[in-house]
Amino acid sequence: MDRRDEFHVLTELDPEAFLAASERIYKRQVREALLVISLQRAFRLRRLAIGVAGVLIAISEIFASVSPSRASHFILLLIPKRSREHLIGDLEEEYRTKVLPEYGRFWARLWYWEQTILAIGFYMWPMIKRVLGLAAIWKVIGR
Amino acid sequence: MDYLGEFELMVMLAVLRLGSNAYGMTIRREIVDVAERPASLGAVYTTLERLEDKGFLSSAVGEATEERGGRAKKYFKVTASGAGAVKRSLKSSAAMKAGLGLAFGEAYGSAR
Repeated sequence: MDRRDEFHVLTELDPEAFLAASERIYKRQVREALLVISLQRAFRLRRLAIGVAGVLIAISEIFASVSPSRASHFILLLIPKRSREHLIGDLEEEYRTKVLPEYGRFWARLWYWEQTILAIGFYMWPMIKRVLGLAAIWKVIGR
Repeated sequence: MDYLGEFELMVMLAVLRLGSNAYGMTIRREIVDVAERPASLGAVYTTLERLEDKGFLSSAVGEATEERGGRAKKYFKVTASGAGAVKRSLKSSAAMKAGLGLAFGEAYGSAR
């Protein structure tokens, strides 16, 4: 018996039974609605969890697949020739002999990238200042 | 007369402490381990280059090893003018500290 038939039958009965049955149907509908809402929420959370997991996997893939020597090729182009080879050599030596055995691959790779980005920053900053004219402005204002 | 900045003085002292084994990585580690302050290789190298340009440091290319990916080390040595600059900086710091006398000790003691 579907809900419409059930309601039709109930209307033939006494008012009290009708009210009780209506309440029962209402409660069931509320339960069903709550179930749908909780399922939707769970689905959204699942999607969020899948998204977060995907990002984490992508990051770990980057760290796992891109070797530090590729990073060294990257900084090679941006650091002046004068210290380029020596800086990369020092970076690789510290990475291989100190950081990797002490902290493991993930943290060692993170350290390597941090050092790479900082090195680029230290070498590029004076150039950026010159290009933007900040060096002249800072000289004028006495910084 | 050229004066040394705070980080420049750290680098100069690290080079003096390391003697004949002063190159980028060891200088960085000396600053981190002994002075207990963070220092990136980029900061160390830009400072070394600046000090070399000022004539406070001299450099020589050393051997290439396997763990460095076949890249040569660059050893640094403090020049006579560099040693003079370190002495001047330490002397002026000591003079400024001595001027504070007991007040510095009390302030330091109460802060701890």
